[in-house]
Amino acid sequence: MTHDIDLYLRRLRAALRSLPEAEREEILAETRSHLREREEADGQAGVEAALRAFGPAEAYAGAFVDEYRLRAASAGGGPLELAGVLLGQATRRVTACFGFVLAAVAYLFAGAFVLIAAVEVIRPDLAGMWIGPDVFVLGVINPASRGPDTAELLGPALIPLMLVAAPLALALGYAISQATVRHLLRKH
Amino acid sequence: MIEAWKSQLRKGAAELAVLAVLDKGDAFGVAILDTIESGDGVGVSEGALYPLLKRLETGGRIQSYWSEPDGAAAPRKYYRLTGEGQDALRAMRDAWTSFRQRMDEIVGASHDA
Repeated sequence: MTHDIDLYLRRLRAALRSLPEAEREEILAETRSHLREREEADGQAGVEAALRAFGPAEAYAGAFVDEYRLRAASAGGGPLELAGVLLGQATRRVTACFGFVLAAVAYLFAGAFVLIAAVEVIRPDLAGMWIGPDVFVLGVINPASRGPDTAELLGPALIPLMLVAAPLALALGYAISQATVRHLLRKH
Repeated sequence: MIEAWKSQLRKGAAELAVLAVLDKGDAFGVAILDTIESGDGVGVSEGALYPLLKRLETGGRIQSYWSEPDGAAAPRKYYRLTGEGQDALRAMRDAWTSFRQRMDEIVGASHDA
């Protein structure tokens, strides 16, 4: 086996390190087999042409790694895993970027809803649904913007409302992530 | 511009081409590639073929097994069509045939005029 094949396979092995061992070894064995066939048929020129056609080991491995991550995330990955996969592909695929941003916004809303419920417990005078002339705030109000005609309408009902809204926003973010990952897998 | 368009066209055709080759019998990567790329070729490279084969296998359209025939330079990974792959190939062939006929009518007609 030529030095070029050996070097390429070593770089490919390193680039495939995030795959399960069996899957990694299978890809390496098949790549080795392909290069050996070309070497047997056309010598060093055949190897060089095949290596050019495989492309850089890291790029070639990337096709398998992306596919594996999308499959793993699609088959029951949690919110963090799904978000990580989308973030990893966000620089290369517009759909991944779009899905990540939408999901992140939904998760941020979920966090904000929990925070508002907590403020309602600690400082009920600051949290609520405030309505007044030129004022509408659902959440935490800046006391300076609360005029004499501003009224708080929800009172303690804000807590159950936020505690229902938070998991709904969380579920929405998760559904967006799942749908995006499934879409990417179909288009991969 | 034209190269980007051709690249998209080839990407869509690669899966059908691979399934059609395997419909003629079990084959390993080098043989699949040489069949597809003989003549003008579809434009599938080594770097695109194996990830595509992996995807088709994961999707249940093909299966693989290792074998080392006499005279082979190394053990070969052979692929074969599954029942699901044959169904997919049939559907893709039908879609391809009607698409090609329609395109021939459109493109061919204006060319002949």
